[in-house]
Amino acid sequence: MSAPSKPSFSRVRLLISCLLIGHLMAIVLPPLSLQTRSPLGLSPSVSTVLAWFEPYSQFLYVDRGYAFFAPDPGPSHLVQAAVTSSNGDRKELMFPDLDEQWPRLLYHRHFMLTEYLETIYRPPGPPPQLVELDPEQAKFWSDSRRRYEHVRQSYIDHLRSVYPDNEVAIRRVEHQIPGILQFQENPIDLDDESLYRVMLDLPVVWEDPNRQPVESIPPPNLRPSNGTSPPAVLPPATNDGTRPGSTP
Amino acid sequence: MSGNAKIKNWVTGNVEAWDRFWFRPRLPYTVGALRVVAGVMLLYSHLVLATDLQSFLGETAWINNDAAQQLHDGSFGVSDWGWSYLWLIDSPLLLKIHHGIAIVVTACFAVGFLTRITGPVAWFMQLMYLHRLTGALFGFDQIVTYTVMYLMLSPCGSCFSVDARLRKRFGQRLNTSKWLGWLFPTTRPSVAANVATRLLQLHLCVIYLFGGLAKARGETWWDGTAMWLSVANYEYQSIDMTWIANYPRFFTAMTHVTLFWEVFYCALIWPRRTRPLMLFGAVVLHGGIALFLGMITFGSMMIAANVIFVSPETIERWTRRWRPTLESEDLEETGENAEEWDSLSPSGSTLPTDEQWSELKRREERVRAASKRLKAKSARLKGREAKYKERVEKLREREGKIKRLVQRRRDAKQKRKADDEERKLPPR
Repeated sequence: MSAPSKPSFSRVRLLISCLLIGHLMAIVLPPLSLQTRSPLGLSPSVSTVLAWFEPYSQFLYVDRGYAFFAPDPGPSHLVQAAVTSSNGDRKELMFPDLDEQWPRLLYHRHFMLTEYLETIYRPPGPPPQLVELDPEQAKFWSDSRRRYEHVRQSYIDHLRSVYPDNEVAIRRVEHQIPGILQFQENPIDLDDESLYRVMLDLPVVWEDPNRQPVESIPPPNLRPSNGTSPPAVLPPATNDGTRPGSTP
Repeated sequence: MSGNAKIKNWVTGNVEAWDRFWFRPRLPYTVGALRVVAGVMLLYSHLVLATDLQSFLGETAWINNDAAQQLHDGSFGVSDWGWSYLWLIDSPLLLKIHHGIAIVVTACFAVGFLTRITGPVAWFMQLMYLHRLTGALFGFDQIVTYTVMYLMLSPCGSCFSVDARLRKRFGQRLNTSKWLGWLFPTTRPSVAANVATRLLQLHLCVIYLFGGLAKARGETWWDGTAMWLSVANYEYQSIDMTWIANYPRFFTAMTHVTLFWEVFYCALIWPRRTRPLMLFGAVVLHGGIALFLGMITFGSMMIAANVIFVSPETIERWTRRWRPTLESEDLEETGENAEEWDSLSPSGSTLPTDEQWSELKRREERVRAASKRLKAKSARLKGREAKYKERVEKLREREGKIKRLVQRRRDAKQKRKADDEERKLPPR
C-alpha cells in the first residue's frame, strides 16, 4: 500500500509556528507599548514593531494593557445627574448605584462608563500659548476635548431618552478613599460626604515660564579684584565633590 | 565535539523542544471543562445585558451608535482597527433579535452543541459586542473573550457536551463522513487541543506579567497600602473589609505577595513543583476579588482560566464519576482512552483512511525519533559506565599499591623491632 501524497507535515508545522509567533507578538507588544510610553512618546523600537501587529491585535481586542489596579489603586469617578421636569421638580441621580443597577455585572458596566468619562476627560482648551508652541499637541488636545464632549452629550441624550420632557445636566464626581493613617485615627464611613468631590470643568491656567524667573540669582563676580579673567571651564571636582579653590 | 556540532545540537534541541511544546497531541478534557465554564459566563454576560439592552446598544444608549463608531474611526484624531456591525443597527427590534441569536448560540456553545460552529460564531458575536460597548468593558470581558477565542480552535466539544452524546448515539453513521467526523470530534488527543491550551497559557502569563509590571510602577504596591486602597474603595466593595486597617502587617504582606505573585507567575507556573503554589495563589487572589471587590464574574473567570494549567488526565480523573454514561462509553466504543489514546481505527474498518494513514506516519516518526533518542541516551550511559569502570579499576590499582606499601612498611617496622629486641638481649 502506497502512502497518499500529502504536503510535508513539517512545512505545515513551520507555517503554523510562524502564525503562532505572529499572534504572540500581537499579544505581547500592546502591553509592552503601554509600559514603554513616557513623556517623550512611545519607545521607537517598540512602536516600529507594534505597527506591524497593531491592526490584528486591535481587531481581536488583544491590544490591552492589563494594568488592573495599577500603577496605584485610586479613587472612583462617578456621574451625578440632575433631572429637572418642566414644572421645576428636580431629581438627583448618582451613577453607578447598587440599588438601581442589579445584578452586580450590570452595576459594574455602569461603573465602567462613569470611569470612562473621567479617563477621556480633557479640560477646555487648548491654551493659546500651546497652539503657538506645539500645534500638534494643541490639535491632540482639541480632538480629545471634542471626544469628551461628544461622549458626555451621548450620556445626557441617553438620560433624556429615559426621562423624556426633562432637562438633564451631569457632572463628574470623585469619590476619594480615606488614607490608612487617617482611617486608623478616625474611622469614617466610606460613603461619608466629606469624601466626595465635584470635578469642575475648568480650563487650565497657562503660566508663562518667561514672565517671572523661578529664582532670583545675583550675578556672579566675573572679574576678580586682581584683574585676571575667570577660567572658561571650572577645574575638575575632587573626590569629596568640592572644586579646587571653591569656598566650603 | 566541534563548535559547529555543538551549535547544530543546540539548534536541533530547541527545534525539538518547540515541536514538543506546540505539537504534542493533548487530550481535550481541560479545554472541554473550560468550555462549559467560559460558555456559561459568556451566556450570563449576554443575559445581564439583555435586561438593559437599550442602555448599551442602539441610538439611545449611554454611548450611542455614532459616538461608538467615532471612538474608533479617527473622528477624534485617533483611529484603530476595531469594527462592529452593531454600530449600524439602530432598530430596537433588530437589536433584540440579534441579542436573542447571540444568547442561543452561546448557550449551544456552553452545552457543547455543534461546538465546531457555535464556538467561532459565539466568539465573533462577542467580539462585535466588545467593539460596540467601548467604555463599558472591564477585565471580565477580556478574559472570557480570549478563552472562547482559543477554545474555538480546539475540539472542546468532544467531551462534557451534547456533541459527545450525539456521537455516542450516531457513532457509526458519523464515521462515514469526514465532515461529520470533524463536526463531532472524538475524545482523543489532538494537536489542536494542545495549541489552544498553550496559547491560553501564554496569554495568561502575558496578562499577569504586565499586570505585575504595571503595579511595580506605583508606590502603594511597594509601601504595602495598595490592598487597603482596593478594599476601601466603596464602589468596588461587596463585603466590608475595612477591619484590615487594624492589621497593617497583614494587608501590607498581602500587597507584596500579590505584586510578586503576578510578576513571577510567568516563570513559576511551568515547573511542576511550583505550579500548585501558583494555582493556589490564583484561587486566593481572584477569590478575594470575587468575594470582596464586587467582581464575582471576573474573579471566577480568572480562576477558571487558570485551570488551563491542570492536565487533562487530572480533569478526566476528577470528572470520571459524573460522566459514567457519556464519553467513557464513547471511548470504549471507539477503543480510545487516556492511556490508549492513539487507536486509529475508531470505525473498526481494516483499511486506514488518508487521515489515519498520515496519523500512522506521524506516529511512526514519533516512535522512531523516540527510539533514536533512547539509543543516543543508552550510548551515552554506556560511555559513562565504561569511564566509571576504568576509574574504579584505577582506584583499585592505587588501593593495592597503597596496601602493599603499608604492608612493606609494617614488615620493615617489625623487622627493626625484632632486631632491636635481639640486640637488647643479655649475652649468654
